[in-house]
Amino acid sequence: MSKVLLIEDDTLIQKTVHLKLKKEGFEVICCPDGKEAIEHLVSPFPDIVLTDLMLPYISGLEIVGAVKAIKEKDIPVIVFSSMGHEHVVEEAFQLGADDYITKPFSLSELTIRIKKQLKSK
Amino acid sequence: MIQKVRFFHLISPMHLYNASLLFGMVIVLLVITIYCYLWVKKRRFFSKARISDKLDDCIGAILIEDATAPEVELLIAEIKALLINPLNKQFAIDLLINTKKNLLGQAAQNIVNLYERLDLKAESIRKFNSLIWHQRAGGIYELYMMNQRDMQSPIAQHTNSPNETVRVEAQVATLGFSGFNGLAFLNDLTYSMTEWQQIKLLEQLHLTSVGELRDLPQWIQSSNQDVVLFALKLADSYQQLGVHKEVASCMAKESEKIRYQAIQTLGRIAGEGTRELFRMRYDAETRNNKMAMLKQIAVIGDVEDLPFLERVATQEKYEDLKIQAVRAIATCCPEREEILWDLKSSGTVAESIVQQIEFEFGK
Repeated sequence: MSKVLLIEDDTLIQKTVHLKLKKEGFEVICCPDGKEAIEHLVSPFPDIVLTDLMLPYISGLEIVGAVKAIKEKDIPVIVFSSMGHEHVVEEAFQLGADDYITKPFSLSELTIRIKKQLKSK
Repeated sequence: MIQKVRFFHLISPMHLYNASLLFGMVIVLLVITIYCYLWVKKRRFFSKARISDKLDDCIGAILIEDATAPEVELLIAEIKALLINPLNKQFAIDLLINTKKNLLGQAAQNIVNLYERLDLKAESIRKFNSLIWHQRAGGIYELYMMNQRDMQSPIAQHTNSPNETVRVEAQVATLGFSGFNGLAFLNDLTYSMTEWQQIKLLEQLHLTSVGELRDLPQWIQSSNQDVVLFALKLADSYQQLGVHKEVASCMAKESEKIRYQAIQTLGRIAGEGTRELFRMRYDAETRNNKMAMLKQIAVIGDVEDLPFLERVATQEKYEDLKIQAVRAIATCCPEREEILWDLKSSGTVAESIVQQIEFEFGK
């Protein structure tokens, strides 16, 4: 069972994505902010990280940087961005993000993207 | 000193007692008020948290299980019980709208279904029917966000509302429901459209698939100046080559703003006579519009425009326009270096201007 670290401050979105991924057979760890997420970036590492770019305390970009700084495991990162924040997505890609999905998004599309990333790693 | 003594003589122990009693009562009242305020706030907080939790569970249950499962029915009944309070209703609507904004496909549809099953649509309709403008605008927004297509026609009736907020919400909703066909409200619009409103409508149109703009010539010739401006922007955004004649006619309008937008649009839908029109109208234009024309000529011009551009570069009184004319010459002319050299050596254009353009073009 692949372990997903989901970082999203909107509780309803977090819950919705969590339940969808759980239904798809993933183990999901949810964090409402970047500070808490950083605590989960220790061994055993998650298999994939999904993060919103706009987060309290620690931004999504910093999360991308922190995940990509992990030497022990190459963890794919998918970032959520809102429309009009394309420049931040570019920055995320420069930091090593593997994929992005624009809000509003379809849960099925998100699941496909997660599976694709996990398959390619 | 004498005055002070007299003042203290006026205060009797009874006065002091009364004053301390009064202050004591004020303090007690203040404490009670703060306590009540915090109590109400706390109650609201917990009430919101309860709804949020229940909605979380409900959405989860709908996603995982059948929407008609007994667990879902039970959750919906529990949420409905909490929604007796109008404040809670609004909180639930806002929560569902925010969630729907982030989702597409079946998940978004599930949110809409939940909104309907919780009878929140009735609350939005109540607001829509309200005579208070901000409530009506809120109702329109909610009904549109929750994709209540049966309300499309009543909402469309407010696209020419005297209240700006109601009008904008109704126009955005109409475009959201009907796409390009929704623009029909421009035929009857008698009120103004602010810059911001026009941007909002264009943004809304970009979200829908491109449709026909059959009435565009009519809008360009509208008596409402803002409709003309918006129609010109539409012609620009969707490159409506068929309305070149109508757009060109806007160059004779009194409004500088309309003429400016017409210049921009003509640049995008340039036809055979566009450059000639610019050359003819140049001298009669304002400084700002002259600059816009020169910028457009730099994009659509060719060697035929050189005599005109040279005239502007040598005779124009404003430095920025001279620079732009030389820039346009450098862009339009294939033998850029030669012509810039000629301009420099003839002495008709300041050497510093030519040098700046040479620098820009990387000589």
